[in-house]
Amino acid sequence: MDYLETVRLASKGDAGAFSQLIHERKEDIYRIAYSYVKNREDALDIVSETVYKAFISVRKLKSPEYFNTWLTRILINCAIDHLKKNRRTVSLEISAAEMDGVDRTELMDLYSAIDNLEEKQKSVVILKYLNDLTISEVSEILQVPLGTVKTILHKALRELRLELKEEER
Amino acid sequence: MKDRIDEMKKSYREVEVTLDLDRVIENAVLRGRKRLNRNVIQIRAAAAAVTVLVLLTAGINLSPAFADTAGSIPVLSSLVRILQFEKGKAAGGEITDGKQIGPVDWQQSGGSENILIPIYEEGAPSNTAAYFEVTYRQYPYSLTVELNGVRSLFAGEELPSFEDSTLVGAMYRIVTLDDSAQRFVITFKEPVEIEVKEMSGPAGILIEAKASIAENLPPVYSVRTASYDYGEHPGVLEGMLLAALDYKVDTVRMLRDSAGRHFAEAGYFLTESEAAAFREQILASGEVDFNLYIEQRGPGDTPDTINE
Repeated sequence: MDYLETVRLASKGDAGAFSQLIHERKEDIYRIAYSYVKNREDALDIVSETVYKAFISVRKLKSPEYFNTWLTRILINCAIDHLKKNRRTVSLEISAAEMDGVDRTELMDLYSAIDNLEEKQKSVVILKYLNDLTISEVSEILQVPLGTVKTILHKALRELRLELKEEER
Repeated sequence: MKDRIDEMKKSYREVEVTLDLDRVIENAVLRGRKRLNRNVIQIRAAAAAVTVLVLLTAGINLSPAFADTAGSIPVLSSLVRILQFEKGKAAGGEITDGKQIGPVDWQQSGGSENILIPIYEEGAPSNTAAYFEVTYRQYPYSLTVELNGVRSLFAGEELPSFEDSTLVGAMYRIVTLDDSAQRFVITFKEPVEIEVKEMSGPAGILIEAKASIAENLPPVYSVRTASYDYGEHPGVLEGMLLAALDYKVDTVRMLRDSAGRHFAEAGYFLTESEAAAFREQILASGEVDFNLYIEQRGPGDTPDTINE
């Protein structure tokens, strides 16, 4: 069965088809969630909420070709909601293996700087740089014009540079 | 800056995907399924006061005394609960997955007839029942059984023929576009009182039916699709009807007709004009690209075959 047919079945209430679609993207979903909260438990909470919300609303998805975009949008909204509800210092749970060969201090500084970005900027940076999405894909997911994404990205990078330079001083 | 982002990307790609991820995803899907089921029940209750749809469920027996007359299937299981019907619907079992349906058994005992649907797991009787819902309706007298987290019939496609049954007309599968659920319809030849029991150790669903007092119900006008052979197509039409009604009614059901073909019914009404208005509402939704028909039917009538 092809991808679009699977999405169509899922949108008609086929839980098996829906699960298949989620499982095909589960690692991406988890990593995006993780990039917002940087710890396993919170990332799993976001994944759970995302899958739940997607399941109960998949019937409203009108265009099967936008399933991934739609799912990522739900994921980002869940991640932002999670951060708002749990306003606290995000614990950095990066394992030694994950940071093997990487300057830990520099990496922590960058994570911290991204955390300090405002929501839209953070989402653009995470999607563009960590998930290798194009500006156009980011625009579709965040439902903002292409030019706006470029502006947000430009400002985000400027703020990151400023913050990282300050930390270096 | 670019170097740092590249380092972060590398670190991010190496984030270990936890083994708990599959469990979390499956639980979230199950939570969603439960929520949708609850929505339907709540919406139905709210809509009952204002809807013109006919939902007559007089055949449900709520009397605990009914249990004393239970029949002769040698059930070694323990009784978990006697399901309480509300507006023709009841639910039991536990949310789970990977169960199977064992060989369905049927026996007559005095005036009652008993159908046992055993629940299996990995080829052997399961200790607990999968989550299931039963819905009793008329036009025709029927009980729809939906089992969730059940992916196959252990005993193949064989169901009892009910050739010698006084009360049961047929038991048949209806198509379900969800490979983790199975649905059946049991039709009755006359009005029945029904009691459903959830059993455990080994698990099963025990349906006990006995003849009820004949009801003098008027005919209704059913809004339905044409008839099709068993397969995905009538299931797709059912989904489109649900979408057309924005999932706000639970009158949509699947049935088999007098020729053994399947169709989806959107709902039924006491008057033809109400049925026609409902039909127009669905067609105007833009969600359906097929024709709908209005069929007059008595409370115990088997639906007719309608060709496209």
